[in-house]
Amino acid sequence: MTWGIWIALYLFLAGVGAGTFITAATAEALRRPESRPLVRGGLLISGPLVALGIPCLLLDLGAGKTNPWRLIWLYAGNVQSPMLWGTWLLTLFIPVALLLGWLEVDFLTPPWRGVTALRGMVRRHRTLLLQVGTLLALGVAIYTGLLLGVVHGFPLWNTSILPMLFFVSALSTGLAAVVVFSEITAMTAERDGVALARQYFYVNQVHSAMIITETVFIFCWLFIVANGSVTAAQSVAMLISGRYSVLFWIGIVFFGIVDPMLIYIYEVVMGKPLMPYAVLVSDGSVLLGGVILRYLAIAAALPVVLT
Amino acid sequence: MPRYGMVIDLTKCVGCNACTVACQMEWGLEPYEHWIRVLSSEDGVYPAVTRRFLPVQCMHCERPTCVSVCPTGASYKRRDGLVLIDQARCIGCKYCMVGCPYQARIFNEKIGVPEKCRFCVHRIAKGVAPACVIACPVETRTFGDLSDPDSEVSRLIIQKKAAQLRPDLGNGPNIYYIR
Repeated sequence: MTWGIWIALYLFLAGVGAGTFITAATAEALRRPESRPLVRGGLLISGPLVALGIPCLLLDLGAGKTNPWRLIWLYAGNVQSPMLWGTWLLTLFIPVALLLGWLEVDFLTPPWRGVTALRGMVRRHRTLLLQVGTLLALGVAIYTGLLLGVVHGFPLWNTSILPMLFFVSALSTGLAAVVVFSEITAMTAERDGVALARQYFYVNQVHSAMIITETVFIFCWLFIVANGSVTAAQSVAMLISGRYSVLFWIGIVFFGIVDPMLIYIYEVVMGKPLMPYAVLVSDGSVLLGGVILRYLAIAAALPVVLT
Repeated sequence: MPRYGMVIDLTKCVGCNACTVACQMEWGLEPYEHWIRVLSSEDGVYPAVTRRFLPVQCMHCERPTCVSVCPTGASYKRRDGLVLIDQARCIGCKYCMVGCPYQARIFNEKIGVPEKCRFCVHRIAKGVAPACVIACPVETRTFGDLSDPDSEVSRLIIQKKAAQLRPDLGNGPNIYYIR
């Protein structure tokens, strides 16, 4: 395994951070007062989540750690490389997301002239920044799948459904992160958590659709790969019945799909929350499934056979 | 412009690993660093079984994935066909190692940069064959110019029907194997 846990963690953080931004922008577009916590929560955590992925990337580097000036080549070395596109996307996305998140808090604004001027400018161009940020977030969410997808030496990755799967997973984990964050902040601020939870009903219906799509994508991905070459089939066998089967069935299938779906279905059918703070269980579970999906996509990839 | 390549006669290879060791000597590699890996597999049905050997190294591909995925441009292809790494530009992201379908690259932890077969670039500049070619005791290896139809490598490819390893991967490797 050339790439390991740090890259898996980065892929997750980039996906979830882009997903939270898309959640916030969508909630903003709905223009309803009850979607306001989703806008605020999403914009607050989106930039920090993606930014948290950068140290993960740097930790995995070799010579770039000791010779950081070489990182400049990431911007202009080879335009064919998805990693170069990713570098640009991250470099542009993180400041946009952080600036919009900054508008949501009152602190971090020392009364200096430059700072207040900048804040005013960000506020004036908020809609434009949201639009540009959404495009960049879409790019970040999809490119993480392309990064692996172009590698034809690993049949588990070299399929066009992988970027789509990572994209849907980014939307789903992003939504989950926003819900968990706004629920926790509501709890700590002793605001009415039940009212918030009720609002998540609508969110849960959308989220169910995402998880169903994700399930279909995971099935198609593994089914098609399993019918490919010998190593391709071995990769899938490692996931469903081999070395990684416990992580796959418990981590991805149970935590990522079954657990949140059961809670959502119960809540949608019964029209009331399963229990106070049930969203923390269902959406926390989605996040756990998201990390494990990224990890297993990397860990279970076997190279093509040469002999 | 030459296009350097190699022909390896697998019918002669005995799996002695002399090529691997000669390469390590030439480049001062650690004992665990192999730029040439000699893979082996079994063939046939008992009692008529054979052990087959397959030396694998950088194929100096026509369409190298390591070069197309490298974000910094540190991995590059020379006009004479050699695929090399500019160590002063590399950041050690390992995308090339992940991208190479022949798994030809290994990571040098000391300098934080991936390394691989360089077709003994300093030797061929002087007109001397790479170290692995000279070291092989059964002369399985032939190095030469694939763009010259009269060269020994070109002749061997035609006469002995030498074929690339996994040409279906689309990289256009410049090492041919006689089976």
